[in-house]
Amino acid sequence: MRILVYGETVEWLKQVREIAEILNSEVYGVIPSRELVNQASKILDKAYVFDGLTYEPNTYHKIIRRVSDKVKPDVTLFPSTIKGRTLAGLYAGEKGQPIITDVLNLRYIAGGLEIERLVYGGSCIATIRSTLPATICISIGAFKPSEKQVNGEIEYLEEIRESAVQTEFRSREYVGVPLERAEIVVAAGRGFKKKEDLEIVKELSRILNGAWSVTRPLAADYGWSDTWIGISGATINPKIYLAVGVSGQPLHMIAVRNSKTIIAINKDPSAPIFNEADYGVIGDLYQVLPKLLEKLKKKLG
Amino acid sequence: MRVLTPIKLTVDISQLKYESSGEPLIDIAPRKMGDSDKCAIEEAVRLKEKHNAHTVVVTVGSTPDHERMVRDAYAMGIDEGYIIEVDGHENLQAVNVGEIIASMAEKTGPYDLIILGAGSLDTHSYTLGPIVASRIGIPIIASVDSLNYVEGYIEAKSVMEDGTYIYRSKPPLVVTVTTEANEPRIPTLKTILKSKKMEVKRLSIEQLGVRLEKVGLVEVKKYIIQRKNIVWDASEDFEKAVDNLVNLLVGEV
Repeated sequence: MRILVYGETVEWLKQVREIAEILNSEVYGVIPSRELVNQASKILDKAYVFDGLTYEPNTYHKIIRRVSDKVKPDVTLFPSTIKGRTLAGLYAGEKGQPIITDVLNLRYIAGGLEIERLVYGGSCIATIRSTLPATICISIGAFKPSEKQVNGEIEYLEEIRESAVQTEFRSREYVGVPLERAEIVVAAGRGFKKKEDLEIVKELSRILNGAWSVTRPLAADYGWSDTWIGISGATINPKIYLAVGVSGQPLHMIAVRNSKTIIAINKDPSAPIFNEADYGVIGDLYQVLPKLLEKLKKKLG
Repeated sequence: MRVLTPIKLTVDISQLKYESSGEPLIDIAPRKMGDSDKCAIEEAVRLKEKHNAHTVVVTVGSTPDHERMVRDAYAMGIDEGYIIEVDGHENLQAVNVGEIIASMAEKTGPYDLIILGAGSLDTHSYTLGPIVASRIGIPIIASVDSLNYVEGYIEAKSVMEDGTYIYRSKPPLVVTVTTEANEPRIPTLKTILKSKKMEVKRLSIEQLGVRLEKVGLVEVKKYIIQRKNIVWDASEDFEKAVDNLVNLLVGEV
């Protein structure tokens, strides 16, 4: 059995190695950056590498298709991110094969795979059976990263330059740790009254060497941030997710469910987030956060 | 210019209820048009107003809710609507739905633009637009937060976690829009009354020549992750509650 994966991060590739062990398969990867080569070649049986191309789904799809023609995979894996889902849709559409997103678990059965996936905005889990070959988008953080090391091959791909779609990219300037790599993420929800109040969240994340973000209404409706955590924004799986003034709507929770520990601060004892949190403090964030910051500063010097 | 907008009837997740066994009561849950589908219609109607586009919607499935949804699209300003008659539309493979829409587009088109909502909330999240693009063999511009048609080019902006992508391309294209793209208009009484008199066209799967495969569904259950659910009330002991938070956070630093 052969797995093909599209991989942008080492953390994701390690999760795919774990899947390859579960399915007892060889794993081949399409890697969009030379920077990942050294690590990718220790995780994948073979890495097909290209470099210097701005993300543009139609062009990336052509490259993945070219590798797929060589590898002839039974299972093609993408992360369940917006980019991953877009590439997966192009791939499955062209191949005319089943596509399953938001996958939490999978195993071989006679004639195909049995798959557990999130449905209905992450509120339910469906068990389905699929024939092979299949295209599968894995929920970020659903599998633990494997530390197994292999001595994989590397092949550099000739670049495809022409594209029907012109693309211009303006990179985000990160202050501190990028959201998807942070071990601690602090998020602000609608409990915050004005944009300036987010300063305390930023300071808290800085002290904890983590990252900060907001829920969708704060970004999309109020314009306090360009990005947010939620099914239509970023998906995270940090060690600690600290949700402040976040009520816990399903479309937000689907993007944080793979966090190891969830801590909530909310003044409403009936907020749904308390049902999905490991630890919670019922209290006014405008009182709790300043005190928390003060005590953390004292403790951490 | 001709614009096609495929729209999907989805389970209204906010009103989903469960059996005590954890099985969701899907059959009795209300259905509605997806939020980003409404934004796709709004973009199509704006192209009609600004650039005299002819606008068409299509939906897959033959319940009364599907016809209602097409009429809702008429009330927003869409010119022409199709229902693709399929039983058990909610158990179709995503790739089949893409094939149906691609085949319908080829039969009733050609279209310069196919505009879809980027994400539906039930099962085909963010993949239907790309599948349709691949099946027809035209490029996609995906998950855009703004869309303009300027001198023969589509210009679109997509904000992602790593930064902002600005795309520019000539039709024919598939474009998927997020709920940030616009504020969909509310139909007026006059347009609602007019929508009730408009014809809804119907096509069968046989007319489109698509062979269907159902998803091999085993079971659906409420998704529960076991959490510790330890809660401290700051109004009872403020210092203690904050100290507990400090210990939890510092333990990981």
